[in-house]
Amino acid sequence: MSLRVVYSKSFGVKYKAPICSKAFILYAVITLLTFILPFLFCYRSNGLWLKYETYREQPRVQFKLQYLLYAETSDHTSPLICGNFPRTLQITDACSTIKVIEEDTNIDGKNEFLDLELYLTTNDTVDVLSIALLLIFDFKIQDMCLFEMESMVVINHSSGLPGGRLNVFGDLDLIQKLPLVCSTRRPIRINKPILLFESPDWLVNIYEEYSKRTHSTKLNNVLVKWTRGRSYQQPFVVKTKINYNSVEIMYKPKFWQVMKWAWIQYFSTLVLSVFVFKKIKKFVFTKHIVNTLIERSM
Amino acid sequence: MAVALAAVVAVLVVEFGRAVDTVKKCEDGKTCDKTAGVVRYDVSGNDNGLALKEIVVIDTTPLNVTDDPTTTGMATSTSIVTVKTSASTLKTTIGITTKTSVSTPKTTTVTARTTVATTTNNTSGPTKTTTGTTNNITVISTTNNTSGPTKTTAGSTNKTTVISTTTVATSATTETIGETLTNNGEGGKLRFVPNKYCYCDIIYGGCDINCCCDTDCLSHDLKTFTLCADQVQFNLIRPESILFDSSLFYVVVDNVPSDYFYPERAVIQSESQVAILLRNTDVFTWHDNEKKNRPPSDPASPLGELVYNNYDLTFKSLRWMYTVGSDVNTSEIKTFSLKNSAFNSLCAVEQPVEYLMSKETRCQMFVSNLMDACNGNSSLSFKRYYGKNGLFKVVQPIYSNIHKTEKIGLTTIQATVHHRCVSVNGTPYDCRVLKTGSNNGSDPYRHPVYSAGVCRRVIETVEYSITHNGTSGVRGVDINFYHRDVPDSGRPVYLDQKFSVRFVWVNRLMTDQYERSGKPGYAVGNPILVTATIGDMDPTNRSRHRPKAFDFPRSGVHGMCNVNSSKPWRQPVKFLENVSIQCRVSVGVRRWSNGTEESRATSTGAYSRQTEICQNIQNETISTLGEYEGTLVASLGDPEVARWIPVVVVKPSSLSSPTTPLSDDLSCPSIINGMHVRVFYSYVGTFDSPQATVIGMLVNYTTSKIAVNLKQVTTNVPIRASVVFVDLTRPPVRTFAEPPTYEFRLPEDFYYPFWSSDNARSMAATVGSSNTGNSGPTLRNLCSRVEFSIFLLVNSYLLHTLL
Repeated sequence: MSLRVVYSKSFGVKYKAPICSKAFILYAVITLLTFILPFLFCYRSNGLWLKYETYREQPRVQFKLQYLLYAETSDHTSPLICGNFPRTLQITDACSTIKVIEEDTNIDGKNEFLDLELYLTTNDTVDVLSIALLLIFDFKIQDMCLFEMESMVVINHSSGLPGGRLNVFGDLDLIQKLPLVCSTRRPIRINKPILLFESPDWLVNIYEEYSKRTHSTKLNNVLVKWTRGRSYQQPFVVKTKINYNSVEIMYKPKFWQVMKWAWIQYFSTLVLSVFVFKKIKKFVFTKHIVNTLIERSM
Repeated sequence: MAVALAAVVAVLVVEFGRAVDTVKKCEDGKTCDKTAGVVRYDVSGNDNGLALKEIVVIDTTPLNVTDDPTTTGMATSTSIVTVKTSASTLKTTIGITTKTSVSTPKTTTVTARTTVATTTNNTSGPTKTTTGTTNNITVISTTNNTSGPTKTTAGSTNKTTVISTTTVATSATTETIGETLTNNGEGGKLRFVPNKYCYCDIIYGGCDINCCCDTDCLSHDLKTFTLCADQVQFNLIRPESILFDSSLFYVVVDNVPSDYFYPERAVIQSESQVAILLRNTDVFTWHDNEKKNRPPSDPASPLGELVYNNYDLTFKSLRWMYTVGSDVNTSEIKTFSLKNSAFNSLCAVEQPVEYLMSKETRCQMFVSNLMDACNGNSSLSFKRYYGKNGLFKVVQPIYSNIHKTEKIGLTTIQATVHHRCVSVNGTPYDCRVLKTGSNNGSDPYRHPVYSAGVCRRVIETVEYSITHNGTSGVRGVDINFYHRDVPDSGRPVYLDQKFSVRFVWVNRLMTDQYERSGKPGYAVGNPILVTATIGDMDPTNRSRHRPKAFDFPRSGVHGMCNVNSSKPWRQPVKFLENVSIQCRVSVGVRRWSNGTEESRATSTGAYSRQTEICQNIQNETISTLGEYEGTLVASLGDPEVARWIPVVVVKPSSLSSPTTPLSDDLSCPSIINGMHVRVFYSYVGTFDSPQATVIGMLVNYTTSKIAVNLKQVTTNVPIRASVVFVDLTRPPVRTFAEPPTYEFRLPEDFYYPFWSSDNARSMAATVGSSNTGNSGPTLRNLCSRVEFSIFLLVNSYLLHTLL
């Protein structure tokens, strides 16, 4: 006749010791170590507190129809300039036509790309040697962070060969020097105008100011084709296609995200620590290494 | 291929529970079970979201479907799956369509235990599908519009069913699924599809190729068609993966669900409507040229009446001085502005000068032909920067006798003009002397003149010094013109031009002014201050010596240290700017070597003469480097509060006697030609605003051997100078204020409370003599003292008794 367990009950043993005893001090030290050691381990191995986090989102980008084109030509005295610049510079506008298409191909309310065509009309005696094209965008992030800024893309190309056409393809990319302190209610706005013409050497100043910004955009994955030679009585053509892909946004995590990540790390090491110290305690007290009063409960 | 297919099969099996659109369709009375489903799917990794559509027919019961032309999906990827489950081992049979667009014969070999469907689209060559010898294989081979024969061979397998269908898919729009065009067997023939919204019908009155719903196409046009490119544009079901790239956790984002539609908007008929519609939207417009042409900020535009009444004599105002046009049109006045560069170094713009803001601009003039440009009307002439005969219109308060009031208005001021001229080789000369055959008698200074390959008196620097009295306006204008003779090299040249404006208060002398290098500590980029005073250390005398900037030789034209004339040939050493300079100094040697032929006989004479050469070189290099023996350096940027620290100079003994006498090649063994300065500084003071303090300066002179060729007129001696700044800042320490010490002092008359002090007594006496009523405080004081003494006595008694 085999027996089956029908009921079970633990048989408790209590090891007691006064406060001023070796056993109690040992108990206190072990208890403290159980909780402090995993924390120290997590903290000293870096990355306990989450400093920044990233996610991806397709930004809402719109070309602000502001641009500045500066083309160096074989004529020293008259570079070709067009776009937004103050009228104190008495130069005839060289850009005869500019065409812009921004399309939302998947109808999600966000533009997917910018197609820009620019026709520079010059004398046939003048060769175009370099192009600097500044495009100003309205850049918005809406998913997790509310963030708006005026941003710029600079296309620079110069060649020793007199050109007739410049094709540029690239992706608009976000550059962050600091993580965003996100909020879904209050948007962060950086709306200082980029094209400012206050001090001399405008382009240098614009670049310098822009490079100081903590958040900016740039053209990434750039493919450039400079076509040599301009047809007779044809304008110089600049064609760009800029894709507005999803960008990686670095942000500062909120309190609970930080706590959650810290807790995961702490807890996983705490489990191990509890397990190890339980074994130590069992060894110390059951082997009577320290004196305790044993009380059995029935 | 097989592996990929198997993977997709797995994905689709999992996906079945989340199917989006299930179309149950049985046609032509074919055997069709109710459980057969057509599931439309988009595949992960499908970037454009347009092309791929999958059909899955899932069935759990065996059914016998033959030639079931269930078609749907996109036109470009015609998809069809026919299902035949015949084996009991396979519970689920799934067909997958893969989109291929090949023009070459395609052979797909499949050996798997799963049910595989291969679809080839748009194949012009013969399609061959071979299956291996395995049990329970269902091969569904679907070819579209195949012009060649389709051959499907199956190996010797049990229960293998081969279904070969050739289909063409048509549009599956949200509204209607067009009538399916099917053509069994070999030879694809397309049929017209009536469609209300025929998206591909672009050409009006003409036939669009591959557009099966185009009513303009005739039946013989259809023969050229390869497929029906009837696209639905916006049926996008975009999957987004949450966890890992598995379809199990797909969230299907249906961008345009069929029950959504874009509402129509009312037609805009007035401009006010536009404003209302655009209220909350960002609409960017093209940059308008005309908008920015505001007269006050634009110096190029003529000033209107509005501006005249709007003068402003505050800091940074733009309406304070105007230049009178030097052209025939004398009425034209412009805001006082300086030329400046814009996009390149060329002088391109005129920037208005703001009131009381010192300004310095520098730009280049491009001169293609110096001979043509060398006249009085070009930008090389000073006339351009002078107004009309030096007349400026300035804003001043004008007292009106009639109204007895002061009103701000324009008055004309004649500028005082000074000219400085510098010749080609850098020597200054008096411009007045060169006045020849004057055609302009009133003006002794002439315009640029081209003579003998040199353009004389080209303007190089214009300095405006404006004497003002704050809100009382400009009181005087001084203009310094620096002319320079430019030799014509025959090539186009860029000529540097410098313009500066300085504001000087009336009745304040500029001679006593100097710029501090920071207050009190040195600021980065400001010159290090030194003074050459020796032994003048007493504090009363120290401020009398004007500090000068510690300077270095500047490398000028052709790398010579001291050639350039108009520019200062030394540059200040700026705080925290580590500099290394190399240049050459040219020393004449012929003067000493000439006429030595007769004295060569006596070796001592030649020797002493050559020593003289070395000595001369030594003197020249030392004067270029600078002598810093006994120089003091200011510890702080403000010399008034700075401590003057003697410069430590380490100088090797200069051995200037030549080693190889009596030869054409002379060698001076150790000429001091290098100076290496180390400036030690540290930040001192509070943590918030530490002050950079120089704590010492070490000047190390170095020597090197200089070879001199006596046959040449001059010899070039290389000069090296360098400065390194060494930070000796100590880490900040935290200092605490000392705890206050409490001095327990009893009053002087504590033990003698009843003795009033002499002071009090005398005061009481004086008060009593003059006014007895005022002796109250003294008496009250006395009473309180008595009380206090009694209290002390009682206390001491109590203490005694208790203890």
